Amino acid sequence: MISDHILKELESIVGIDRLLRKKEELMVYECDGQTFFKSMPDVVVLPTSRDEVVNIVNICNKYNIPYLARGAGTALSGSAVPIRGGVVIAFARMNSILEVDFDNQRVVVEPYVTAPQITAVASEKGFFYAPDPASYTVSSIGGNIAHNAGGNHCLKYGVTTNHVLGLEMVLPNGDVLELGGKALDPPGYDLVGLMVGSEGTLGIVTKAVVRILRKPPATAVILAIFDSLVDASNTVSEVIAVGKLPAVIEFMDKYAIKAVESGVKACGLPLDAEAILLFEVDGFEDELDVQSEKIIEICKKNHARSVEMAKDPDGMAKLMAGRKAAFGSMGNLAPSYVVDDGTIPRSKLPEVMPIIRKWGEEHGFMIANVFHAGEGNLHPIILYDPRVEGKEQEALKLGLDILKLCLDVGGTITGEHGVGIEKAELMPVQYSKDELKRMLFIKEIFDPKGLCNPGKIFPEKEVKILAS
Amino acid sequence: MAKFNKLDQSDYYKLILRCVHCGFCLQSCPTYRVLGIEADSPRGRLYLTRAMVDKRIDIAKDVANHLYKCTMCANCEIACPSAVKYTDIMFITREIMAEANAVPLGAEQLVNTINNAKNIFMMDNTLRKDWVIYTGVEAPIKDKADMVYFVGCVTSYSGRIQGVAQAIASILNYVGEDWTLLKDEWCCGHPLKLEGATKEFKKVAEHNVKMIEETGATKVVSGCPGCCLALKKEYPEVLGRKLNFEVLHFSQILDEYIKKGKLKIPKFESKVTYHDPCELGRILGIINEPRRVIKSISDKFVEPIERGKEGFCCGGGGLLKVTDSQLSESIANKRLEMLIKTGAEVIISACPTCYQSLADATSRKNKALQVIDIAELIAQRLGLM
Amino acid sequence: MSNKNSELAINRVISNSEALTSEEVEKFEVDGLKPKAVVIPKSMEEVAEILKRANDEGISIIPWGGGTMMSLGNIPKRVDIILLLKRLNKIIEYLPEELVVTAEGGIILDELQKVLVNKGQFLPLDPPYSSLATLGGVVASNSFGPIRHLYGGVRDLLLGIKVANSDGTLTKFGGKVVKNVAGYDIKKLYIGSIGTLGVITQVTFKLAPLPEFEESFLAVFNSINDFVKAYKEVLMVSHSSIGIGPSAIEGFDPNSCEILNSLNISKGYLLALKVLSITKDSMRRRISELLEIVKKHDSITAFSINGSEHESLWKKIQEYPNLSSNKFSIRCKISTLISKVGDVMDFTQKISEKYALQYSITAHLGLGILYTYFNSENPYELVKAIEELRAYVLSIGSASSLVVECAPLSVKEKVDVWGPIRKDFFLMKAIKDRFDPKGILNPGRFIGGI
Repeated sequence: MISDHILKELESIVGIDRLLRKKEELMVYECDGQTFFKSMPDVVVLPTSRDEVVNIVNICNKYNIPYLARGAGTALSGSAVPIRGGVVIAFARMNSILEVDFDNQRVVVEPYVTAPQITAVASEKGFFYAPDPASYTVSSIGGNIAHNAGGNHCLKYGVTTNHVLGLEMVLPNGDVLELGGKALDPPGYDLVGLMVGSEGTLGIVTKAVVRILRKPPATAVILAIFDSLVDASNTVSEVIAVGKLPAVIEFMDKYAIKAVESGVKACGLPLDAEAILLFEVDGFEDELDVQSEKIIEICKKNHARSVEMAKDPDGMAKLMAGRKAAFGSMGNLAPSYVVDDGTIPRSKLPEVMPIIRKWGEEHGFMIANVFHAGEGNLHPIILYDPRVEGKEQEALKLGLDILKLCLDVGGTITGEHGVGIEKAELMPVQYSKDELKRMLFIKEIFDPKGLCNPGKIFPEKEVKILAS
Repeated sequence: MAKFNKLDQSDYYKLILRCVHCGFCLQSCPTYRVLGIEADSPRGRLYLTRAMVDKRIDIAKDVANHLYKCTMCANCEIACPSAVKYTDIMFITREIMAEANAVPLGAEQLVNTINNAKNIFMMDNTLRKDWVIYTGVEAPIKDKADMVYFVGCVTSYSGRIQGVAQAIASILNYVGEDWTLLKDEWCCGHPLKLEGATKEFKKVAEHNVKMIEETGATKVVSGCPGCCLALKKEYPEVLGRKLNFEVLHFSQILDEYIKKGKLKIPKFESKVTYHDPCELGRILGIINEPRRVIKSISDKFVEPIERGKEGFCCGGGGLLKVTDSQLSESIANKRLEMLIKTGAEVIISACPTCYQSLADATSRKNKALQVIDIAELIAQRLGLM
Repeated sequence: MSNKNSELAINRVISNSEALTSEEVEKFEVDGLKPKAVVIPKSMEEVAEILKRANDEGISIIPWGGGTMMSLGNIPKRVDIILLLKRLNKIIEYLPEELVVTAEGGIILDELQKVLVNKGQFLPLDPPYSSLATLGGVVASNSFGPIRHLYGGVRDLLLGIKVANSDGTLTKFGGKVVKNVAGYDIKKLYIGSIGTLGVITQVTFKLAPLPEFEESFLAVFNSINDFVKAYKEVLMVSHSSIGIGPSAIEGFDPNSCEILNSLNISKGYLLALKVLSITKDSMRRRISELLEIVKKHDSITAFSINGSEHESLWKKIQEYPNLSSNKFSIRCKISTLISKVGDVMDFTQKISEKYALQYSITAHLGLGILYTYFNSENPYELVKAIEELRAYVLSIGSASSLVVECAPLSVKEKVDVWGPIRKDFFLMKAIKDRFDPKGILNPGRFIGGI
């Protein structure tokens, strides 16, 4: 609990309107995009400037109150859950685009700006901001940075860390630091690179310099339907090997198709197919065909039942419709689900996909798969009914088992969602003690008091052992 | 309580459970876009609703403050990948709140006002037709007619918006429709439904339907999307039967007249844009009709961002004007900025509430921008007013 | 430590590892300092063991890959043992369908490329001296070349790293998958850290498919103004995605444009693009679009070349630092705003004239990175010129910096090659202190005396 005089101090910074402390106001901040991990903050503040953030952090420091920065709260690993209570610093009011610098192909933003908002201003001169995680219409750049968000197009365009060049941050000791900037390669260790993906545990980003790219002039979409999981999986590896790098390769299995086709967003995908693959290629109009032909050829060679291609916006939207609707349609199959995020080497898809299917069947879960196949970034969706006692825990456990499988084949426990609370217990599986120790060095250097988004990434037990 | 929507408790809960908490609705929500407060977002309000059902929090006014701080614009339903029926859930939730006497004061007062006065302004309902006197337009009150013009409270009573009634009446006269006003029009009751006052809403619906059916009219026309929504969708639901008349928004009538060549309207030279009223565009799906009307008289029509099905609210919806007028104004300011960005000199709307919100925002901003209702614009071009 | 004791300590560190004879050791030096021994480990484990012993004995270690970037850094505080990593040259895993390769840190870049090219792929890094440079060295020195424009630099391509630490442990960060956000992105710290945090023993890189068609587009301008206007417009319309964009957009001043000597064209400001395309026809279209732009800005000559001419030109461009090393004693890397490259070129010319220096300038225009080369008989003038140029670059702001990548001792003694530290330095210092508490790795060579 935070005492009244501390609340008064916080109030003197943000004012009464931007300080939330009633139960119903706080309760909605108890979880992020997922709802298994819940913990209420003691107070929520909504700063509008960097200086307010500094003052808030200083108060937390003075009274040893844990705090965390929250963007849109769309993360899926519990990284924005105030697991030890304290102060949630909600960034929703810091949402200005500060500068659009076309000459240098950079945009400077406050943390709550969204990717489409950057693209909107950049498109004035034909540019765009590349990272596009599924939540990108609502998730904040600050949150994207914290999680090193990926997206559909990262096969070709890279992930958030490739597009963030500078950060203004408030360090847990209250210092304001400018890391990097519009220019590349500032001398010294790459602290921008370290901050990106640190899940808000090393400090709070208050401003970001991002890179914008010229928009590709044309795109085409290819939809291929397969009767076998293995054929579809093999196709992915082969397309990558031949050197026609598509911008997107997405995978949907039969349960994902079923989810879409049994809801309001049904779009005519065949229910008897085992999997579909979606490719997006981009380039100049006159070069799309050359790229597509090769991909179509590989699909056919791998026994695709049918392959369709579209280059017009309506046609592309039609082919993409199922993929777009997939996650949201899961409610058609079950009221709740756990979605995992392991990444595996792409060539392991033919091996891993059938195992996931089998495990689901063995444990009585339907597991739908909709994911970024081009990067081997799996998103197995384990469907369950939360009203059935014990099912939620069982689903979570199965999810962790699948992640261990990802590790066994040379992958990682998280490709883009982050470790958060959910996967902390797997960190010692993925990393050795010596490796974890070095990560904890970093945490200790940046946040010696451990107040900045505590309880994330590292399992509690490990932290204690390594600290001693 | 849930008989109204033919939903038992578990169906209601199922509807709530469909929300997987992804947050994709956040940027579509006008109140969240202004406040940035989770409890004032669709996801937050659903979370609180679920918490009440789960008995994690009490059904109380403090919670209601957030549940009613919503324009019921339904934009979140468009953004929702899980097809959560947000407004359906909120209507039921608001019924529950009303039954528990946990409704914000402003909303509660509005219900009393409508119950007592049959209009939202606590005015004498017999003065409802005074706009006819003020504007000097001819407006018949007949026993029988083909068409009823359902005026609505805001249009009837609010000074500058009475021009919309004048415009509609004069155009109906101009094309020679056989039309009438109702002898005793009551508030359409949409605000009652928004508050959760189902019983009262049903009473009002019964009265208005009786009035309309007595005229034998096959068509009811209104310039107010809220009234249209009540008459067209909510009345059949609450009364449990099909109604014997068709309900049209006046922009649909205009579209029809122009198609049939009944109106020859001189071109309008100013650069214009159009603001989609939420109830008209998103909820009733009337998006193309007003645009066709505008394009028929303007070559300088520019679309704003966030339009049509994804139209951004003017801030005047729900009961927000009575529960949090300041927030309502902030949303209007935000919408106005988007409309200003189009570079248009004239903002056209098709809803008295949008008209009011945007015109007020314009005057707060000291902008020499004209806000005009689509009916007024046409009537002016025809030289009828 | 007395000489005798130190010799014993060094021997204990070497233990059973292979070491060069004292005669061979003579060939090695770092900024004029001779090592006491040169050790050649055969495995990553051996590297780790040597580090552990060195740490126990307080003996400094200088990792040495191809030795091509050993000029980078301040004068070391101590040079005890040079760790020669050339035996760590195995490819650990290469699956073309993964578009990813894992190799030991001591493998030479060109040797690796030979294997990849067979499968129609390559590691899209083209730093100078690629026939000598090792992968680990490229990472440690953050080396790159013109095609960083399209493919990104080491920080964009490095997926995983294995490092031998001063406590004798081997640690791995990142992995072999292209998306990985488990825990902190520690691997970023090693990029450009010139071996001050650990010895890079293994790296995993993202690869790219070889481009289908490639040509050079070249345009020469008389005035710097025309050149600047032209490159800005070219940048504005150039795509920066694989398959569409030019892979390099380079600029040369009239002195560096000597790389074109064999083509027999007049001197001037040269704009050189590596243009990629997927079909032959679209290549012609791209070239003609470029022609139009440069003509608009009064290019005195503009043309495209392909085939072996194209290849040898880019080899020369890539190796320019190498080719010019006889002529110039100083090489500065200037990172600044893309839009300020022209201004920095202009200022460099002025300052060179002021101090009567020989100079030459090359630039990665789309990256905002320039290299300025200087020479003079007089080290004082060189120091003054560098300091003035650095002050100018720093005044541009936005994280602009000047690093002296290569300089004779006489200059290094007076100039901090990294420039002034920023406010975030204390974090870097703390990281160094935790990762290498006894400071045995490359002591004194990095920023702020790290």
